[in-house]
Amino acid sequence: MKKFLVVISLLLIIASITVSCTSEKSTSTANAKTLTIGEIEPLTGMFGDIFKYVPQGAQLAKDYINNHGGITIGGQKYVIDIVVRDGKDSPEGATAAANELVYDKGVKFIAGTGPAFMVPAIDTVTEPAGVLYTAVYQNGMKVEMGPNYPLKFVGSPCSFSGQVATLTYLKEKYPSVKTVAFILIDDGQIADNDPVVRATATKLGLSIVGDTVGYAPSTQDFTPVAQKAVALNADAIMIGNAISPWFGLTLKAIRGLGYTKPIFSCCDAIVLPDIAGIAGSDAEGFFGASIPSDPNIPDLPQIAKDVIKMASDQGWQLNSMHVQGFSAVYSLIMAIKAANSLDPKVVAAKWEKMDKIDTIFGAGRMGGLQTYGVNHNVYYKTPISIIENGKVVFKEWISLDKSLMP
Amino acid sequence: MDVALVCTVNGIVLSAIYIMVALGFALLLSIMGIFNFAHGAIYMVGAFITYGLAKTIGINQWVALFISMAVMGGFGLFLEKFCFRPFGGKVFEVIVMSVAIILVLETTVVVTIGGSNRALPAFIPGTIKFGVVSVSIDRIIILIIGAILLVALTLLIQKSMIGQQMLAVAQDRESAALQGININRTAAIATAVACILATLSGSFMSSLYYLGPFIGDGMLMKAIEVVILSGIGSLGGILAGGLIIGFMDAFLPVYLPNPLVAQAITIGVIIGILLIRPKGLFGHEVS
Repeated sequence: MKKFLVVISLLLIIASITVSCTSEKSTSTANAKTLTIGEIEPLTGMFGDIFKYVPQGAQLAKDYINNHGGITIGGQKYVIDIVVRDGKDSPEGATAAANELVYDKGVKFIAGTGPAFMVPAIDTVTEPAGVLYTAVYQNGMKVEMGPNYPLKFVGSPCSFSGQVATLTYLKEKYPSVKTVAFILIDDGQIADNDPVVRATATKLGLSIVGDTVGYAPSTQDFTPVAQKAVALNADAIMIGNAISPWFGLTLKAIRGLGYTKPIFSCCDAIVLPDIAGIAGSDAEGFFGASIPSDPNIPDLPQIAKDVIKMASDQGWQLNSMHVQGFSAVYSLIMAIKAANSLDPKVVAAKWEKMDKIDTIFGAGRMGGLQTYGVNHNVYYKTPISIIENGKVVFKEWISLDKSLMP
Repeated sequence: MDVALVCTVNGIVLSAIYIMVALGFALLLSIMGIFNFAHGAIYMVGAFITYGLAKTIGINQWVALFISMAVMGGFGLFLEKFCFRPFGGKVFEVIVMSVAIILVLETTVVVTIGGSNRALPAFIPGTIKFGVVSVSIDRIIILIIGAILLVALTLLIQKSMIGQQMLAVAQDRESAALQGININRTAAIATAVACILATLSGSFMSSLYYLGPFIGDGMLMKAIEVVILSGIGSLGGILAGGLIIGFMDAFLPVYLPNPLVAQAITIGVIIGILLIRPKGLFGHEVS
């Protein structure tokens, strides 16, 4: 009888503990508030094709964070919600979307977009309104980041870090290469990118030959561009920020002129499968800062494996643009957690003082001070992948040397 | 010297490309007085049909091209009967309708096929070397087909019965009707031919460049430049217009440091010629 009473008592204690834990969980979920983050992307028009992946990345970040219990700020639990608006592939579209998110929806945090002409357009709304804006990419233009934009951050490595990573890989894998020709879209990026890429190349023992070969955004035929680049007689050709059609067409044109030396891209916003689809066999050997949707990549952090699985469950093949969309939201949330505040100015002040930050590819760091005068850019190790037999193959991780970090 | 030679070869090829793209547009505008802004979208859809038949279903690419041309020719008949004919030659209404067609076609492609860019394989792979210059065989084919089409279309208009009927309709619809010319049938044939030409050029451009839902927009602008420069009302003038713009686009970006300046000069030359000859190089009045 005594044993029976002891067993019953134990069972009752266990049951009550279980019930109270469940109640606590239900209570906290029920009491969770929603932290709404605005997301602006060019979903239509020419840039829509490549930036359509970014909101998917943002959704993955939202799901990842919410699946891991959301975030707690000042004792209050929050779940994340993402509200996406189309920037309509134009500055005025981006401004309109920003106005709606800030003044109609009342968001305090906005993530997204990367085209050089849209980022400053969003800044014109967010800075005066005191909204913290985390761009997915930085094209190397001074108007995109600096002391005049205290509430503007970039959630993933930018064009300059892409140059460091890919030039480092080039030097390592192609030691006979000494000179590089540089092709870049001429929409205002060349003036700011040119001196930085030359300095980076020099530090790595390489040199950029001739002038940067520019092309207008409306270029249809890239043969003249390829001619200028090939005429520089460089040991390799590097293509800067661009979208998949421009990469594919430039590759076709360069290979069509009989150029057989290495061609690569320093742009982090690159979708190698799309480029392979456009350039076909001309894309063989083309490498860049990219990652295939493969959970078995060596040294891949668990978070990245989880995100690849989540993407696969949605029917998506994870690519660099998904990573950028994820990183913009994820790094913003990490900063909010570190600041333990939902005040954009408090978050910004904390974020720019952070040296280290968690990212999809492991421990990252904040940088940008020596190039932009502010510590507002998230950097993490860069995956280098190459197109082999029409498929994207991972090659190596490149960790940025602090002395080379922009 | 090598650079100049490459530029010259590229200029000839680009000219042929622009002429091929502009022909269908010019046929409708110069001969029928229809400003069909949807020409670029039709060019894109025709290319996607060729791509779908060749890459997805696996039909021989040349056969796919001919099937696509036939399908889009039929679409041209539909277009004329239900989209252009109801407006009876009213210019602005037709323009508005053609813009609407662009939106419908581009959105339909994005929603059903997706916005991803791709490319058709080369119709005939390989390159031919002319001294220091390598030219892909596809570009040579475009050159030959462009020349044949220009001659054929000019002969069609000038020598054939249907061509004469098109000219008559272009000069005066009412008088043409009084002469017993079936206006609707003439317009339908012209629109069908224009759609077939758009499909042909779109399919070749998709192997030379790439294929996406918005590829027609840029090429439409080139077609308009060529037609306006050559002169509305002149089909033969397309040769001159195509050559001028093709060579400017081949040489200027290479020899000028700033590509935007090269584009501005091209537009500036077109404007300059129009200031001297407002009807274009070979244009004449079209009612």
